[in-house]
Amino acid sequence: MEKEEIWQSVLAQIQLITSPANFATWFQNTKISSLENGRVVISVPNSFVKEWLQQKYSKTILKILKNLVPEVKELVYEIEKSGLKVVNKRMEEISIPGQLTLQELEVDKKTNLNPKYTFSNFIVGSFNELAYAAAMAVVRNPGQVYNPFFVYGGVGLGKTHLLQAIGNEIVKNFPKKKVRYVPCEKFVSDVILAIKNHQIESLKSFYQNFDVLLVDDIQFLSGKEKTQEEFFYIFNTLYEKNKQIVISSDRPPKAIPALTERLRSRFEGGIIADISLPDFETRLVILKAKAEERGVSFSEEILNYIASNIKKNIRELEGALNILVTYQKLNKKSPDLQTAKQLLKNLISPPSKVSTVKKIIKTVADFYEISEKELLSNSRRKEYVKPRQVAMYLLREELKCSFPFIGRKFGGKDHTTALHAYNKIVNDLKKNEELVEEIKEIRERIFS
Amino acid sequence: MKVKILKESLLKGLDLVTRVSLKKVSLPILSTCLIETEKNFLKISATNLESGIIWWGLAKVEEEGKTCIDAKFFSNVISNLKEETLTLQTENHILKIEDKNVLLKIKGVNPEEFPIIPQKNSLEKISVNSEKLCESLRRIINIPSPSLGRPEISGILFSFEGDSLKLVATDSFRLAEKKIRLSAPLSKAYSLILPQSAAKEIVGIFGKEESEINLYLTPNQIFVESSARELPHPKVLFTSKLIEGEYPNYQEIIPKKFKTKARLNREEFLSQVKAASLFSGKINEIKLNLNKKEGKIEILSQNPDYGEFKSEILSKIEGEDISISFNYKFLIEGISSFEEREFDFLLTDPEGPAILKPSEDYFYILMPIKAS
Repeated sequence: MEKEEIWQSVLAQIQLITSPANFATWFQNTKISSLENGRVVISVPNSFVKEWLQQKYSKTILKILKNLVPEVKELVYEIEKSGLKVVNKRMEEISIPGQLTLQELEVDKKTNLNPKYTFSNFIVGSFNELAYAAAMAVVRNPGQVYNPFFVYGGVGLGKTHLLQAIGNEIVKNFPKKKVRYVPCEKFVSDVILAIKNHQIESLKSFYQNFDVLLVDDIQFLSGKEKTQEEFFYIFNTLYEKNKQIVISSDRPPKAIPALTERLRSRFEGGIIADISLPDFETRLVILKAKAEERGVSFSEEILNYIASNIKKNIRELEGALNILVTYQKLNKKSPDLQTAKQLLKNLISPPSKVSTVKKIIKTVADFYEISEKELLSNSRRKEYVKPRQVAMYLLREELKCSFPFIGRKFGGKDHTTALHAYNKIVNDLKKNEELVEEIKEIRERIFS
Repeated sequence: MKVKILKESLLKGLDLVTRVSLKKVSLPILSTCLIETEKNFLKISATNLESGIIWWGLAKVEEEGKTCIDAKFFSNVISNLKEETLTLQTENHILKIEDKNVLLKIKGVNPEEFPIIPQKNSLEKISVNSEKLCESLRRIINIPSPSLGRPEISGILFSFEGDSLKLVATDSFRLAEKKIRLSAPLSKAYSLILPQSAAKEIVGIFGKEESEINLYLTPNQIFVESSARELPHPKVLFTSKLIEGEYPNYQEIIPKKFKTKARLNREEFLSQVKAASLFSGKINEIKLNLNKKEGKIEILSQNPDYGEFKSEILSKIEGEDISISFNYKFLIEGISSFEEREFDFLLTDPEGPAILKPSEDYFYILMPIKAS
């Protein structure tokens, strides 16, 4: 007979000799947790029940048990760890509009995951289709396909959401798997601390224990050689054991500066998926979903206005929505388009940053570590030619300078030279990821 | 059973045990209290199966015995008697009180039916001043919210280490921590989560008079015991189950760096915030503008139905100017939770945690409302 069956028949007999209220009070949530070598362990919900059964019912229970299973000799009671009993069903959370919460409290201590990030609130569009598909494959078979899974994309486009959703989904599907989410910055500071305290071995074995490791913002490893070494070691151990590794970054592995070659090639060994910018329709869908989440609605023209003006960052879309929600709550009416424009002024047209010809030339020269004079010279040496083309490209793109002007600026060249340089970079950008990142970096420096 | 006991003493005991006994339940025995003799004491116990309480009162025991009586009813009866000394007798579960002018017979229940209150096994004894403990609990006791659906933060964290005890409570919008110095350092570090209701009982039972109380911890229960002043015998023993689960790593919430710091007079700030709260709108928002150069804080609120409120208080401000909004309820509860005359108001960001810190051993963190 199974344990459950034995206990059921014990309860069936006890029911006959106790009052219903007594039976409900003392035998609710009891069960046999183990039955070995004649020793029966009965698990009970709390100390009161334990004391009561021990003192009042032990004889009866033992007698009934012996009739069912003759070898039973001993009866032991233990209080159930209620960790098993508590079904973590989230009741509706108190929501106070606008009130911010202490985020860290939501985080699960074991996995470091925040349960609010799930696939059900992850919006899929053409911009993140591939990343989503790969994530779904990973979630179904952690460690078996696409290992490592490397996802990259700009700020506020949902990388962290995707990583956390993968973790949460795996925890849900495979409760036995040990999942760990770690922001790279945290990992770096852990390594530094471990080195200081001579505990690097215990740090390694800590991370080697997981079945799924999710590392966010891996670009922070850049230039930190010792940390890269430790991470490489952990990566390999996990990889060899077919443990799933998921990594996010704001740029592809090739473009992460000061990353050792062996790590780079490891990162490229699985699947690399990018999250690009959402298109207008997707932005509109996101806005509508977020508004619905909050139980508010705005006119189509306002949503269109936001979606067509905030293009690069989903977090900013949410920010814009928040401003309108608060306005609505406070004034008890929806803003019209004019008011919305006024409210969102700061978000949508931030004070424009100025760049000048001089600044662009200086930044490009600095970036490639050549002098401005060399950049502007006629020299055809390879190390000057590319920077010069990049500078011409940026002058055209950023300042809309005319090609004759650009030509003159660079040692009195013809406008066709400038046009050629511009076209060359435009074409190269389509093929060469490194160049894309270089130019991104230069742009950031120009506008910083 | 035949026992002589002072009426005042018995009333005190009944007053305590009726806190725990239940009114209407499927199991009628839980609304009774167990009355029994134990050496030179009359011992009264009550339980609701989540917590339990035992009280001992010095009495002249002439004959041993026990019975179970409805606790609330018994307490009402005794409080209406005039006699100073009462003689209690039992006969077949019936409790008889006989005196010159009265004869009462109260129907009881078989005492064998009464639940067994778990025993404290010999464990490390933790001594703490009752007034300190209860005053500290009072500060934070109303913060947890049972409706959150997260059992681990529905209670109060007790974290023992060395000679300090930290009490922590949160509802995910705010969090408070109070530190208490223990009478003697402990050999090990312990931590437990006490249900909010049990914490309220502890305050109700032990908060009335100052004494040294002892805590005993087991994996599933906490025991709190106070001794009689006149003799080395326990007077009241309260026990409660603990909440299982792991308390969130709240240390990580506590901001280490601040952008703005203001030193405020508690009374003055509290009265301004209260005034502003009358004008705040549906989301309870009041806005604070801290201006360093002018050394003042502007308090603003507005409501389409009532109008607008604006006032200023002077304060020394360090760091950057900042504009931040709060739910006035959380702010008022925070300021009211301590009595120090002045406190530090520390801010990190218009959307980041803020701290009220009146002293080294207490702080109250609260999150702002998104600014409009």
